[in-house]
Amino acid sequence: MKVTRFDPARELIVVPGYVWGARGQQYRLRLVFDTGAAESIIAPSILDELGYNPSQGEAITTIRSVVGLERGYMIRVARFRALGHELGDFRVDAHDLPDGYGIDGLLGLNFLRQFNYEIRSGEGRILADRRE
Amino acid sequence: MAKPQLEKVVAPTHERLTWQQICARYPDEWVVLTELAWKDADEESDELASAVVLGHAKQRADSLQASRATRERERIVEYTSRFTGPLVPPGHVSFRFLDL
Repeated sequence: MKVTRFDPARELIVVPGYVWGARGQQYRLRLVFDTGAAESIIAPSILDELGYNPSQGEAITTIRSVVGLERGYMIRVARFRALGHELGDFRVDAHDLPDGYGIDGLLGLNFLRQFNYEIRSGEGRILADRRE
Repeated sequence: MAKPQLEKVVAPTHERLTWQQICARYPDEWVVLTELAWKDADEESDELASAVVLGHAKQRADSLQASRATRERERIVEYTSRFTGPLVPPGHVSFRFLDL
C-alpha cells in the first residue's frame, strides 16, 4: 500500500506525478486527482518538451469547454508514475488546461481504475494499492 | 497572438532558492526548476522547499523554451515547471470543464 499526501485545505486534490520522455528525461507533474475524468490529461507543452509530438498520437480528441471545442490527441508515454505506482506505455490525453490554473494535468480513471484507493480527506492522505 | 519576449524570460541563475523566494522573485509566472528539494525530504509531498530556477515566463510553454538550452547544455534530465501564483484563479469556483 502506497501513501500519498495532499493538502485537504486546497480547492482541489493535488498529487505529484512523473512522466518520462523517450530519452529518459523525467518531468515532475502536479496532477488533480479527478475521478470524474475518464482519461488522464497532461498539458501538451510538457509532452512536447519531452520529445513527444502529435504525429505519434493514437487519435485526435476533443474537449468541450466554456470557450468551445478544443482539440488534443491521445499518446502513449514511455513511463508514468502517480500515487507511488508506475506504469509503462501509458496512454494520456494531451490537452491544454484552462488558463490561470497552476496544474499540469488530471489523474483520471484510466490510471485510477487499475488500483484500489482510499481518499482520507481528514488526514490529507490517499492510500493506493494495485488491484489483484 | 504576440510573440513572447524571450529576452525577458531567460534567466538561469543556478542559485538555490526557497519556494518563497522564487514566488517573490517571479510573481505569477511559470518557473522551470531543477534540483528539487521537498519538505521533510518527502518526494510524495507537493510542498516544495527549494530548487534551482532555470527559466521563467508568463506562459508555461515559454518558460520551458527559455530553459531548454540550459537543460540541454548541462544535461539536466530531471526538472519541472510550476506556477508561482494561486493554484486556482481567483473567482473560479469549479475546475470541471471537461466533456470527453
